[in-house]
Amino acid sequence: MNITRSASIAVAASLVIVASTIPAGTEAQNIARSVASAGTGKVRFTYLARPDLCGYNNSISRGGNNRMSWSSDVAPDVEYDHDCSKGPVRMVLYVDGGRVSKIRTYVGGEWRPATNGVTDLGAISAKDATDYLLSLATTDAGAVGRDAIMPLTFADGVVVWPRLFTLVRDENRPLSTRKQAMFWLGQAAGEHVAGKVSFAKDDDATEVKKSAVFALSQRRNSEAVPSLIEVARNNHDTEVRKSALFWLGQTMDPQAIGLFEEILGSRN
Amino acid sequence: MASGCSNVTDVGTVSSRDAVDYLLGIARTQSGKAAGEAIFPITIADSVEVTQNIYSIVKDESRPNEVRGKAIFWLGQGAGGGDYLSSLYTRVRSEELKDKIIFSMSQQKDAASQKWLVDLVSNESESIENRKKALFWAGQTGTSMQQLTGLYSRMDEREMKDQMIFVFSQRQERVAIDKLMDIAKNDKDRDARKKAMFWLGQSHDARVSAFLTDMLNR
Repeated sequence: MNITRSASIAVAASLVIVASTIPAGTEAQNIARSVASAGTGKVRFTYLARPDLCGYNNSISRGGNNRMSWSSDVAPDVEYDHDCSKGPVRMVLYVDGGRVSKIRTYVGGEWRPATNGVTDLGAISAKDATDYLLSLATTDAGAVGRDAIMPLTFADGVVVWPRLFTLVRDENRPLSTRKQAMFWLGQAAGEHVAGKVSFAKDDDATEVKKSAVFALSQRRNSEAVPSLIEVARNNHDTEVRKSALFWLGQTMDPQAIGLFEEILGSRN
Repeated sequence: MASGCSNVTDVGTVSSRDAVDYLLGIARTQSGKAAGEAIFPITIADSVEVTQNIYSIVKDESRPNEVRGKAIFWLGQGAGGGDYLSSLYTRVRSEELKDKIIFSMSQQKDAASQKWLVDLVSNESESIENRKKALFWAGQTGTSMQQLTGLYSRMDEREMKDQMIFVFSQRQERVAIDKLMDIAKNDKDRDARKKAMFWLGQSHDARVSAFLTDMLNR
C-alpha cells in the first residue's frame, strides 16, 4: 500500500513539474501528461514529416542524400518493407519515473505491435509535436534536450527557426543543446541556398573549393569566420556556399548565427 | 659502503675491457631481456672500441630480433655508425629491423646518412612502406626543403605524394607552407591539392586564411 501511495505521489509530482514546463497546446499537454503518467515505459506518437524525408531502420535521408544514421541495428520500434519510406515522423519517448530519459526518431515505416508499457498517442499535429519537443529542448539539461532538436526540424509546415535562434543564444541552456540547434540551423540555411538542387556536384573545382572551405573552418580562434561568411553569401558555386554554411554551423559564432537568421528569415 | 640487499655481490671496479667482454658475452649468447639490455652499457665503456662488436651482433641472424634491434639502435646513437647501418640494410631480411635501421640512420644527422635516406625514398625497388618511413625521417631530420621539393617533383605514386605533403606540413618553416600553397594552387592532382589544403588549415601560419580565401574567390 505504501508503495502504491508513493507511486501516486511521484506521478502527481511529475505532473506538477511537467505542467510548469510545457507549452499551452492541448495535444502538447496531452503528450506531457502521458509521459508523466506512463511511469516507466514508452510513449509514442506520429506527426507529418517534410516531404523530402524518408527513412529506413535507424537512418533518415534528406533530399536523396545527407543520410543520417545512428546505428546499424534493426529499429526496435518500427518496421520497414522498403528502403526509402516517406513520413510520418515517428517519435518514441522512453519514460523512466514519469520523465523522458531517451528519444528515438524514425521516419516512415509502420509501428511494431505495441507491447505492455507502450502508450500510443496516435497522430498529432506537427505544431503540437514541435511545441512539445521544443519544451524538452528548453528544459531538459541532458541528452534528451539535445536529441529533441533534430525531430522538430523534420516537421512539415511548421517554422521552427525563430525558436531555435532563441535557444542558440540562450546561454543558460547546455552547450550541447545549443550546438545541436546551431547545427540544424546551418543545415537549414544550406538547404535554403541550395534551393531545389539535391544532387552533389562532382567536378574538380568544386571538390577542391570544398576542401578549402574545410581548411578555413579549421583555422584557430574563429579567424576565418568572416571569410566563411563571405563564401556563404557570395560564392558562385552553390555547393561551396552550402559547405561554408555547414562548417559555420559547427561554430557558435554570433556572426554565423546572424547570417543564418538573415538567410532563414526570408522564409518566414 | 652502506649495506644494501643481502643478495648483492659487489665485485668492485673492473677494467672497461673486461666489463665489455663480459657484457658482449651476454649479448651474444643469452636470450631474453638481459641480452638486449647488455648492449647499452657496452656502448658507454671508456676507451674500448665496440662498434665492430655491436655490428657483428646485428649481423648474427641467430640472435633474437629484440637483441639485434637494440644493437641497431645503439649503433645509430654513436658517431660513425652510418656506414655500418647502411651496409646492414640490404643484408637484413626482417622488416622490423629494416625499420630500426631507417630510424637509426636518421639519428646520424650527417650528410651521408641524409643522402642515404633520400636515395631510399627514391628507390622504387624498395617497398612503399619503407620509402615512406625514410621520407618521414628525412623530413624530421636534416634534409633540406630544397631536396624535399626536388623529390616531390619527381614523384608519381599517390601514397608517396601524400606522405610528402604530410612531411611538408610537419616542417616549421615558411618555405614548407609556400610549397603546400603551391601544391594547393597548382598541382594537377586534385587529391594532392585537397591534401595540401587540409594541412594548410591545420598550420599556424598567419598567411593561410588569406590564401584559402583567395583560392575560393578565384
